[in-house]
Amino acid sequence: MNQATLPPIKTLEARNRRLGFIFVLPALVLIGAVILYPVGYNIYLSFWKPALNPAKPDTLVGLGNYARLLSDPEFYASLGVTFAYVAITVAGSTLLGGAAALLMNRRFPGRKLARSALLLSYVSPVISSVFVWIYLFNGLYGMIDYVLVDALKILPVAPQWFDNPALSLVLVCLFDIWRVFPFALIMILSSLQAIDSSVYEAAAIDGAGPWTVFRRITLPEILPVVASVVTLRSIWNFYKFEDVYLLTKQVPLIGVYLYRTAFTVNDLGLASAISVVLFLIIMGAVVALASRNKGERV
Amino acid sequence: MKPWHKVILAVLAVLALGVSCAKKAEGPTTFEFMHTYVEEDRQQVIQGLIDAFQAERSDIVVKQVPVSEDAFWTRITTLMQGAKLPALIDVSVDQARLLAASDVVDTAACSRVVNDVGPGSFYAGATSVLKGADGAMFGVPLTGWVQGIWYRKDLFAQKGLPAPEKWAEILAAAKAFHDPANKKYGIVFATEASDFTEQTFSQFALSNDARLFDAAGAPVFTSAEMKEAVAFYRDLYKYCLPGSNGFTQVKDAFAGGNAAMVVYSTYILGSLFDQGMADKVGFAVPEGSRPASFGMVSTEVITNSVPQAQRDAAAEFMKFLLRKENYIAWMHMAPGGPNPVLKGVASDAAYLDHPLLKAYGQTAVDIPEAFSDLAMFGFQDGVTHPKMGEISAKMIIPTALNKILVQGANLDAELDKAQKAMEDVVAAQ
Repeated sequence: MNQATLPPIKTLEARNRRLGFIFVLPALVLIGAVILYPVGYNIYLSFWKPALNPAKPDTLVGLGNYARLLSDPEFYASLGVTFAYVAITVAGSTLLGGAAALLMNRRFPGRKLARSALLLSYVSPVISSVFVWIYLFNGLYGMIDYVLVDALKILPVAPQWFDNPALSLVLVCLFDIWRVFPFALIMILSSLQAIDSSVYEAAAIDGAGPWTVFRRITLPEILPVVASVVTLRSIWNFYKFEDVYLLTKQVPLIGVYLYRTAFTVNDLGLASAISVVLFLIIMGAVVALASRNKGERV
Repeated sequence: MKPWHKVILAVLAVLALGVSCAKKAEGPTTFEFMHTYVEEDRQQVIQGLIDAFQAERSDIVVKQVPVSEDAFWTRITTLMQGAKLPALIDVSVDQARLLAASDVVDTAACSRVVNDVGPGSFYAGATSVLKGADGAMFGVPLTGWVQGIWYRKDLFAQKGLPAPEKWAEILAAAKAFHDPANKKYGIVFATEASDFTEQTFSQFALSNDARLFDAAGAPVFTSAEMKEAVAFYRDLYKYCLPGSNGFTQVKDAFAGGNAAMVVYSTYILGSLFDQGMADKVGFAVPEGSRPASFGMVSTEVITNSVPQAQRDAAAEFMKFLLRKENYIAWMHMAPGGPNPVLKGVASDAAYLDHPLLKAYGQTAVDIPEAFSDLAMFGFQDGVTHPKMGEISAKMIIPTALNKILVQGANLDAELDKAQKAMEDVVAAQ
């Protein structure tokens, strides 16, 4: 080996590496600015009681915000309601999406139209859907009250749909299931269409019934997609805010609790502490799920 | 030259170019005016006024920044945190109080505008609610709305009922018209946990002399007068459209003919005019132990985090807006809703020269008189309680009312809870 030729090669490599780093630098700066900095600043804020006016000094409270948060019964109540909401909506939207996907996977006249129609609730803006629901349940001219109370006389008086805490929870869950089930539908339908038809043909030759076919072929094939849908939807719904906040004030989800603390009460330190705790909960759940999946694969 | 040197040189060149361009951009003083008039026709009226102002003052450029009402306060707090508040902001009295409590208001500039226009030109109530404990103005009153009971004169005449002024008259009338089976309600008012409910209720509380604070500034939400007012409000709710009512439910129920009375601001006048109800509607101020005019002043705040030149320019723009011809143009942006806080404008022929104001006749002239004796929670003995803005922001009062009325919670227990929450706010540094 010629020793004299080695140093220039090294320099070239080093130079290329350096140039590569410079090209990647803007992306790194961007990630640092829009992800790392806010997360770091949020953690920093959670130890302070920041003044709204930056000219005024912030007060260091140490773990004070965390102590206040963890001793607030409202926080635990919000957390409980949020877990219930996530469980109901994720199960509901995935089951409904799955059922719709199985239906849409069959051939029937008008299938394209039906598929597009099913996506409507997912693609329409949240605010318009919320207003439609508010008007549906309006005590004066709502269609639901008209049908249940005036036309069919099933109920003697109209319930306070969005004022009764239990009814409100049911309604916001129904709203979310109705609004987001097309996401599960799209995902599951695409995995259904990826299943080779020869597998079904072989099962038919073997004399397998519809239930056996579903349990032994369809379900195992779509299960990985269903797991992804459930994970993603759980994370998204854990932070749910806008539609619930717009529909009712009686369902204190953790997202609503966080919003009120930050922007109604203007307690930014406590709000940051809430975000940190939520982040830990979600990260814990994701890591647990990921390691479980890894274990299963092994 | 090495390639990465070239990259750094290029970046430096771009930066240098940016700096030189920024330096060249000296010239007229530009300031931002943030408001919630997002409707296109209102923005056009405001732009027209800005253009007229800029024609007079070529050294000033005004940029309007319309922000939707829902996102407004969030935007303000975010901008405040970043020391990026615009020079001029159109806010409510409550919001002005919160801004003043955070020391971001240029009180000297606000006071100068009021003094230059002439403190005597304003209705006394409109300026006194914006005076801080030190006597300086923490905002400039621009317009205002008045709240009261709007009632169907035609229906009241059919039943031979008097105008709903005294508490007993209001309750009797509500009972007389209440027929929920046919979707007719005696009265409709705000009950949701929002500012609107606090505003509606405060008029009844103030008409019973129920104050929020004692002379020493300590909350007295459990006083006998306050309990009486809440109990009356709860009695009245029996004849109200049930549920958590907000602006939409309240306005729709009255404009749709489903209620005989509504507690609302002058902003309902436009909808009633559109429904052809202008001549059927009367206006009454509720009266317990005394009548209580209630209203809110739309306030322009000049902030102190922008350079002095911008604050001066904002003050000049405010003085321009308060000049009669410009002032009337602003008022006609949404006739009936915003009312003049400048004396004499309400009876001015140019102001009344609008179909809506003509339709309401003398009512339109009389309404602004309420600004001479404005009452509101937290404003006592000529001074605004420094923690009132925070108490309103935390929705302590409307949350308690919503629980008592809509959720059927115990009155005493909820008032005790609210009292404790207010004490915590007052005690906090």
